[in-house]
Amino acid sequence: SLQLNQILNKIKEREVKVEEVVNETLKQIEKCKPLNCFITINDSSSLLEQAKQIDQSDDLTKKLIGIPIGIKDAYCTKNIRTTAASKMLEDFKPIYTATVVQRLIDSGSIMVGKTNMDEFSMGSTSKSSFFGPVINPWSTKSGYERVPGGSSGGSAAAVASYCSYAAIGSDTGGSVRQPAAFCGIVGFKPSYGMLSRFGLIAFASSLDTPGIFTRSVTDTTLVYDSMVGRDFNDSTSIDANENCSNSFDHLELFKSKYKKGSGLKGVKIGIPIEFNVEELSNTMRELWQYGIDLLEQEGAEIVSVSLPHTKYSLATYYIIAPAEASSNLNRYDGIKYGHKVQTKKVLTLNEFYQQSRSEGFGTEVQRRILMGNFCLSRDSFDNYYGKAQKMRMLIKQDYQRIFDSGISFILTPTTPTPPFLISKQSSNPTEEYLNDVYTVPISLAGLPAISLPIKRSFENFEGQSGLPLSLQLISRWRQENNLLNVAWCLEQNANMQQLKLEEIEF
Amino acid sequence: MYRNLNIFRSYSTSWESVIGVEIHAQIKTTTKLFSNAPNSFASLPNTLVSLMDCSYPGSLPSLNTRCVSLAIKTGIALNCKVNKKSYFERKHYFFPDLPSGYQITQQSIPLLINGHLTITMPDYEKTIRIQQIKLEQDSGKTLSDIDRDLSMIDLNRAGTGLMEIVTEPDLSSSNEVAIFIKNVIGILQTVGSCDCNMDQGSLRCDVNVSVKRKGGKDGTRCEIKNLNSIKFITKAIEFEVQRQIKIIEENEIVTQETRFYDASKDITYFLRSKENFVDYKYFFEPDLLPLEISENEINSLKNRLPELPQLKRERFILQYKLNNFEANLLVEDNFYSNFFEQCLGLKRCPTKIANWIINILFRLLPNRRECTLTPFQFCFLFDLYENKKITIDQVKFVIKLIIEGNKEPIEDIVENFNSQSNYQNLNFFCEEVISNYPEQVAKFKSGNINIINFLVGKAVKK
Repeated sequence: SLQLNQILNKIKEREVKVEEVVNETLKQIEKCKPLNCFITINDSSSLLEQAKQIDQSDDLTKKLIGIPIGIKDAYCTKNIRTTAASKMLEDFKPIYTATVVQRLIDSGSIMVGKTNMDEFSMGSTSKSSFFGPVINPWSTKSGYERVPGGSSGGSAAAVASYCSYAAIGSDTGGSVRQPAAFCGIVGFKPSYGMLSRFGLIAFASSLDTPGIFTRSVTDTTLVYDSMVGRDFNDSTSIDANENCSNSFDHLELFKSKYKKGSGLKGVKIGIPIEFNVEELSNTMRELWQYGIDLLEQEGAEIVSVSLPHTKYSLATYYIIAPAEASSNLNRYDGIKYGHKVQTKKVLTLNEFYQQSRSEGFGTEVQRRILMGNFCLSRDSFDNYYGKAQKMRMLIKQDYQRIFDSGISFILTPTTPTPPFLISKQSSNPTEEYLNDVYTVPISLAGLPAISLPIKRSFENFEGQSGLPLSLQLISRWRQENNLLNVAWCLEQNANMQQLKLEEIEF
Repeated sequence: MYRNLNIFRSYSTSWESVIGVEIHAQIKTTTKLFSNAPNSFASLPNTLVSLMDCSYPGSLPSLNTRCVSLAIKTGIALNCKVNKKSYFERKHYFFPDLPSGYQITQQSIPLLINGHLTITMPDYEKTIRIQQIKLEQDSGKTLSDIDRDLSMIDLNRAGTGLMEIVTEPDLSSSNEVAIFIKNVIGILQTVGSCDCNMDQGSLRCDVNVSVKRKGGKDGTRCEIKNLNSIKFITKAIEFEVQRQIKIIEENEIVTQETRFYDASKDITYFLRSKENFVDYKYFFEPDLLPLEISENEINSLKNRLPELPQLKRERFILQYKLNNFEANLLVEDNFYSNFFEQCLGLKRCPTKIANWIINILFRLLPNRRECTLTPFQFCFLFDLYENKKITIDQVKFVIKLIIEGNKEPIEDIVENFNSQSNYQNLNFFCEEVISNYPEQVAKFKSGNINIINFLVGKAVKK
């Protein structure tokens, strides 16, 4: 139950063999099979072979040498099945590897498998997967299983249950931060464009951002540093300057200068009043206050700020994201790859398309495609997509204004509630969307944000107490290093009781 | 006969044709518009396809800036304004040869707008306005004639860069359209942005045709597609104009349609109605940044433009004393204007060279686009002729040999030719022998065939 940076040191010092590490990981994966974190687990003999190769080599300098990592099944991995948790790509084996995954492999890490997720990254529960739901390792009692969050629920659950030391997911409206919160681990979403999207099966192109799950902020810096950097295959990818690269070294420097009680002297933290909605439970409001107190103890100045267009964020997101998704999913037509209708009947071209796509896509995906098509249709465009783009600009400007006025970071809850039961049914399909209320505005603005587990809940929530509660820290665009430093500071002070191995029982 | 009568009738009621043209020109770059797959014609099917071109999951577009430069140069040559910030958009529809289910194109703010081109007709000049030039992807090809039950999809062409050049409906006759397209071709070839090979499909034209009575209100447009030669374009326009006039004169209504041209029957036929319009759901392409061009870049491209056909034509007339007709023909194809000027090296007479190219070379070439004769070879023959060492028939004969594939050095061809088949001299000697030996000739004529050997012997001696 070590952190990535700790096991990495042991590997580099040859205090522990990579083969041991991988063996332990494989055992844990086997034990945690009921959680359904993985869609594809890589062949154990080949993983052990990779481990042995590293143990036998002279060179252990690579950044993530020997570290077992999980990869969300939305990333293309060469010759390894990539499904996006959909029947549409059930047997799809890509001929190339996504850039960020390749960089992780090149850093010496060992990919243990492809993690489970909401189908095509659409959802915040990981229930919509064609391969069955993912179960939150914090709730293994039969009949009381909880959702790990989504859409990158498998990655979050894998890291929380020690099936890997880190995992990557993708965050479009909160799909890394929210499951991190529900699983009590660190979930980091850099600025849009910071990490390459090449090879990430697209959901909403202007929102998709690769994200990182780990058990500590220090771990996050190590993984982030291995992935960051411009990729010319992705036209929206940006250069990393000294404010958003080498985050591990920057954090080490910050740690060396850190004096408890004055770590955040002179730092202004904004608390957005519009996020303090009536629906926010007392548990979460108290958590928020607790976080504010922790930061004040470190010398930060807490300032109330206003982000007036917050209340339009969900509507804006749920127009833009499905619109782009409906377009990105046009390519799944059963002709070049993926699911194709099997029939002896002679179909017209339209029938062929309709049947292949209706069979291949699940309900939520179909719902979003229809929503998206509606928002882009000629008669609705101006009132929906057109307006949403304008609103998005206003939301961005809200944050710009706050950061320009001297605020360095914003602190909010990550989710409105602790992780809820899998069996909970919503009265209408869009109710689930309310889970994203705190993460979505930040996605629309393209800002970097991190979700940190702060403490375990005291009150009973849907039959369980001691559930993980998290807060979200947001910074200005391209200030990842500073954000991670402050996050570390908060993490130190919060001293969260992480999920113990013993607590994961079936 | 019926057609001619109609023309007669239409002149008497003063009908006007209103025609607009949409030219799709494939941009001549080594790779495609958003992918690094090679851009080439006639490769084995589906061998020039990158991840982006078959819309593989996780693939992303990456702009080929050379396409942008060539498009801007083309636009400047057509007097367009460059939009310093233009946007790519997605145009959605489902078809097997469109792998993404959308085409990346430009819609609301294209790269180039508000251009014009002045064409020179026999009796007048006319300025045709260019509404816009936009960058977009070409689709793949659907082939339905290889297998009876299957449609074959070849994605080699998918993703190739296209410039779509759209005119205002300023053209009024099939002749104007022909001249206009030829002029555009001249410009595209000179700029080097397209090789304008209509047979191979690197240049495709659609026309929008409507008719109206002089002074009357505008008619309904019909779009004609599938026109892959200038000859077919003119014929299709002529047929369509007559078709629409006939409909209106019979008090019927012309419906807005898309039509195809059938060359074998010389008719246009209905393909699909334009009334059930397709909603393409355009929105800005989120995977690409807005296309931004600086003033400096525009000026740099402008300065690198070669001499355009219009100016070249004027210069040929002024500098080389060619007439309009000659200048037009030579300037039409970059290859021949260069050929012509290369031949002028050693103070050869320009009008004579022009005459030779137009009246000898062009007439001997089965396809003007494929000329294997070099200026050096051409001039070699020209100089021989000027020095009276060779006849015009001999010139044509040698040119034909070279066009048909003879790869020997031209000096050798001419020498062999001179020694083996010196028709004129031979003719002369034979005539002499025949007149000197009348008895032998008489004997030959009355049946003594062998006497020919005697006569031949005498000729050879000469």
